[in-house]
Amino acid sequence: MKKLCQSKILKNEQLADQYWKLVFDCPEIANEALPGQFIEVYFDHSLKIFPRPFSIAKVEHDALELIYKVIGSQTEIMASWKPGETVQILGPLGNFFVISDDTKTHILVGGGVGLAPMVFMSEVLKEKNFLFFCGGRNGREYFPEVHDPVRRIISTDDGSVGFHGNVVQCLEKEIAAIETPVVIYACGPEKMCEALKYFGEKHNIPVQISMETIMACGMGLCQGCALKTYDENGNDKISLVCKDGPIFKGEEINFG
Amino acid sequence: MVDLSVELSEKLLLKNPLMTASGTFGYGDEVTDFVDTNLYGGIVSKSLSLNPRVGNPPPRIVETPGGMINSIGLANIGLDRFLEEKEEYFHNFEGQLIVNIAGQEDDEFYTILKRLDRVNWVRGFEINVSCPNVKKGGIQFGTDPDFMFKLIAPMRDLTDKFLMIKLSPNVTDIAKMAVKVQEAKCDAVSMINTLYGAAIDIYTRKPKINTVIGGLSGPAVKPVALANIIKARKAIDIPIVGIGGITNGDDVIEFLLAGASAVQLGTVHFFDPLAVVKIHQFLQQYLESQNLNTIKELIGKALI
Ligand SMILES: Cc1cc2nc3c(=O)[nH]c(=O)nc-3n(C[C@H](O)[C@H](O)[C@H](O)COP(=O)(O)OP(=O)(O)OC[C@H]3O[C@@H](n4cnc5c(N)ncnc54)[C@H](O)[C@@H]3O)c2cc1C
Ligand SMILES: Cc1cc2nc3c(=O)[nH]c(=O)nc-3n(C[C@H](O)[C@H](O)[C@H](O)COP(=O)(O)O)c2cc1C
Ligand code: FES
Repeated sequence: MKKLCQSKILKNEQLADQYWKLVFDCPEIANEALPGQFIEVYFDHSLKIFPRPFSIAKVEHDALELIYKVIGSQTEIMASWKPGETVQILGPLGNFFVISDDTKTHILVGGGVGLAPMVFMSEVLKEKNFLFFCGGRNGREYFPEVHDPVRRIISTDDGSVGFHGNVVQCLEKEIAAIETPVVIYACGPEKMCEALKYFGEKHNIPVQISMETIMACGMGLCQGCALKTYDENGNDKISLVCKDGPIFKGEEINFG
Repeated sequence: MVDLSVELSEKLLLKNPLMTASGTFGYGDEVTDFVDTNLYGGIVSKSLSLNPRVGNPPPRIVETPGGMINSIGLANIGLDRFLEEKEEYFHNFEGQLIVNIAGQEDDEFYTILKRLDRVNWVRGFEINVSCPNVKKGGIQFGTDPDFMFKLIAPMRDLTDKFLMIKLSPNVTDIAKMAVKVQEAKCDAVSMINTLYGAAIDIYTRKPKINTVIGGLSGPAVKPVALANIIKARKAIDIPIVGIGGITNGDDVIEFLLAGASAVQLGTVHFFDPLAVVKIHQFLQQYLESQNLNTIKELIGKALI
């Protein structure tokens, strides 16, 4: 059940260059949230009217954590928020990653702000066998800590940290050595997600991808967050990212 | 206790003047987790067509200063699924359900009207003659007074239920359209639907929505809505339902003063889902502070 909450900010701190972590005291959402789900953050009077969607990056008891990148006016406003202030948030919204017990290796792939839901996944999968592929343009990006550092495989476009190349190339190099059956969970830039869809098809690996579109309501009211998809028979379909997603199977997504 | 009820015709009494605007509230059952939808005097459904419609391809929405442009294209579940899936919710709804109908041609409107006329939980109709987002039908019905009259005149014989026509602001003179609605013996007009709007990405040089031109809504359009209501109010006697950019209680009072008998909340649902709760409280406080017993005393009382 989704909850609309006036939540107190517990922490709002810079993690790296443009990356910030925001923690709310919000038991209503934190106690129900599953990895892959997101919340809407509301803003007071503004020329920009839409709330903004953010993946849930972690829950710890009553605390709900976001990881956000400052890229425009509303995320700039967020960076100015101070602990103790109250913000309206709605969630948990959307579907979630499906985790199956049969999977031997869980592969988490995150690039840029797409890292947030993967951090949540790495917490939930703590006791299981997972590998977390983090991609970034360069070493100044944010690469989240994981409790067991060998499970974190970094790649950067300029090679300044970790593997020199993108995450998909990195995964291509590692895949042969990974114990099967494997499932890939992905969130990040559209190009990365598209490449992972085809990577999954090539290696016969199921891929669950978290997609992004502009959202007005985040909860199925406006039908604005349309995504081109395929139904089970391969026919063209339109899905709503906020309700039917944000997680889709690779084969469902029509990247055009 | 102040009286918030308003009458849109003998057939349609609303316990308060707040309704939802078509296409901005799903089918009413999305927000029940955190809003008591019984706070609405009425719910207007998403535009319904005979068969399901997938709507336009993405991108469908863009944020603009104080508003948004949409090109949803009347995506809806179609008449059969509507009747099957939504009956339970609307049976329990304590306000009035108005079904918004959008056909591609005359017969589609009439067929839906005839079928829903027999459905007891449907209390009335809003006819969408003014959607800017469909190629066939849509805006064409809503911009030519005679063309529209031909479409709506036969409707009165198909239903005794409350019948309201939703008008577009994308016309030279909305009063002329409103007069035609009155001539066709409909019970009310609602206005405004969205305005034409466009936005272009300066880096890709592509339009920001797929149809290039879509429908502008939100706080930015409020003054346009008020101006249209004032014009129409002078031209007709039947009630007007005011729509366009309403975000708070002050706005609702302003619309009533301008001549609307009730209002619809639209885009505000996306950025303030609790607006109905706040407005409800404001209306009561406002009436008390103005020493008014009933909200009806405000309708059309602007000193114009
Ligand atoms: C399901 C989902 C989960 C997300 N999770 C995260 C996350 O965990 N961390 C994070 O940093 N970002 C996340 N985002 C993206 C985040 O919503 C945008 O970065 C944010 O809205 C930017 O707002 P702005 O005003 O700062 O920037 P603006 O300058 O307004 O916009 C910059 C870009 O942000 C995106 N954006 C703007 N408005 C919206 C909107 N209403 N809905 C969706 N996207 C929009 C667009 O791509 C736009 O080009 C997520 C988006 C979605 C859809
Ligand atoms: C996303 C969206 C979808 C809409 N869909 C419909 C629709 O299906 N039928 C209709 O008559 N009007 C539709 N409208 C128009 C609204 O009902 C309303 O007339 C308009 O948005 C102006 O009011 P507002 O500024 O309060 O939103 C839609 C508006 C939006 C923003
Ligand atoms: S954002 Fe409104 S339906 Fe998805």
